[in-house]
Amino acid sequence: MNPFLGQSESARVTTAAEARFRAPYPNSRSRSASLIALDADSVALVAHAVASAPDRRRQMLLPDVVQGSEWIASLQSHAKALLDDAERSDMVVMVAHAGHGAAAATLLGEACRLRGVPVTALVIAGDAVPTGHVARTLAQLRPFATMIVVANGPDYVEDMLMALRA
Amino acid sequence: MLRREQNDIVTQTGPGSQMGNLFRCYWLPALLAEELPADGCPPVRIKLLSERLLAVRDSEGRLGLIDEFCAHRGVSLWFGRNEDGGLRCPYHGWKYGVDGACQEIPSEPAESGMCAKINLKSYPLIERGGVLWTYMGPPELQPPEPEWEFATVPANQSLTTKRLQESNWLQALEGGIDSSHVSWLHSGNLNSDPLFKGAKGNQYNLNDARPVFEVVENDGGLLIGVRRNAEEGHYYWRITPWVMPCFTMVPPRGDHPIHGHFWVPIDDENCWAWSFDYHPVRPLHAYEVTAMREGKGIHVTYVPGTYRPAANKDNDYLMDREAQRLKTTYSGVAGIAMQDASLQESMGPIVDRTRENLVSTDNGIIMARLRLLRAAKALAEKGTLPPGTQTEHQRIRSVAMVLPPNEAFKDSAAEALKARPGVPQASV
Repeated sequence: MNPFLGQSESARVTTAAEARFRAPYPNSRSRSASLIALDADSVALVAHAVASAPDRRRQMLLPDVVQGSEWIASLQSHAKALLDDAERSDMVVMVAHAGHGAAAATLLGEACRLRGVPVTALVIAGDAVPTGHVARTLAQLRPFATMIVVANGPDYVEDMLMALRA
Repeated sequence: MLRREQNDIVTQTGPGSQMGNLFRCYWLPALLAEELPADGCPPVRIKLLSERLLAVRDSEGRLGLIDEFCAHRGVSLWFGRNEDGGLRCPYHGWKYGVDGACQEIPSEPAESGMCAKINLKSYPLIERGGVLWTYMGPPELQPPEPEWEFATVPANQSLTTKRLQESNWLQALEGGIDSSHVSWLHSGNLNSDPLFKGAKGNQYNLNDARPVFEVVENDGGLLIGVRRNAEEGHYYWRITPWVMPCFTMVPPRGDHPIHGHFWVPIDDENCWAWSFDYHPVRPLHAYEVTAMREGKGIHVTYVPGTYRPAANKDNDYLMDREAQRLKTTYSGVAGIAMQDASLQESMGPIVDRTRENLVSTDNGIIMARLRLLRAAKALAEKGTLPPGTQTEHQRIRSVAMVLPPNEAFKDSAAEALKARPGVPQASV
């Protein structure tokens, strides 16, 4: 209770008028995200997200190395560079389409888990995805993802990154 | 974070606003039935979606929600006389029906036609499950009457209360879908509250302090799953549904009743937090009802004669620093509802979301905001009715269950997530 105003502190400071006096200084530094497409369908999506904010986002696998079955092999050969990239980022975001294999994420995901880099996995699904497809992809992501989102459409990638200031 | 213009859209629900128009697509809880207890009882002032209204139960038992003010000189009809099938303004005797139609202007000759030209804005008011519901949108778009399970089970299986929350509605809603705060803010209540304690699921909570979150889009809104380790590599899942725009449920514990909320805007700086408890297949026990009336679980006690919580901003929520130090309560505020409300009100009447720093476990909140923004835009630009108006979206339950490790909870718990009359809730 404020002894001068006869009003509780909580009542006094929670008005819209008091909200104007909040310290107007930035309360965080910019955050960076490393994005990785876990299947060919996600490559363009990730590339687009990175292109819209290249100062905060980086793509962890260039589109021209994502070619069919060579993808996993090339991923492993790039492992060191990928891990270095991940460690420099505030977060790693993996993007997969439901039903596609996400096994390629295992190596990097485990490394992130061990090094304490949070991994958010976005699974693009929708009404047309057969039952079981989502589960298959989730099973591959759960061992290391600290957060999983199953979204109905691809727009969520950009929306989520904006909301996270990445 | 949200951009300022996005924050304005999701927090403003007055007439003509985008989010206001969205809310006006739904049946919303307006009053408890106990507030209009008898035919011809006193009318009740109520503000909803920034509109000042009067709830009336006339002498014939008809219910209605009308503009609070007399069309003649702007007098509040709260002073009105509820008599002979209408509400009469005590100033000059103008009389209105529960549909807002003027029935009588004593000073004007009947043949003048003046009475027929006077019509107060009115909305339908229906009783269901001890709650009076209203629909404030265009009559031609009125959806089917509400079918939420808590409002359709026998009366002795359900109990609903409401409390004033002195913050924007979205701050309150976001608490309802923010599962990651439970392990902190409410950690003192799990083994002490009579409406929670004793469930096997509580042990999973206590044994695994690092839950993992999965957010899944659902037809009516979202499913927010929290998984913890259970026996033999299985997962203990707690699944919270959010149905647009403002309905959330808490996953059950053992055979305790299921809890949930509606978060209904009064104006842009206040909302009603509706709290219900029900059991799908049995009457509530007397001790459960007593506990709810005593403010346990998600309910509160009140300033006498009001729906304002006894612990409120005027008394610093009865903050108890010693209880905080001893971790009897984690924040020092007693009771789950006021633990949430005290912090949400502390943000200010409308929190500035341009300054927040969300993290990945906030994805439920991020997704909910996005869906609200999208739905409001689709309604404004294309007239697309939003999710949650359909009856099938309302036949939903929260779930607590143990599942094998490699399953998608939305698929594996699909039946358990449906409200099915006579079928017990899926709970651990």
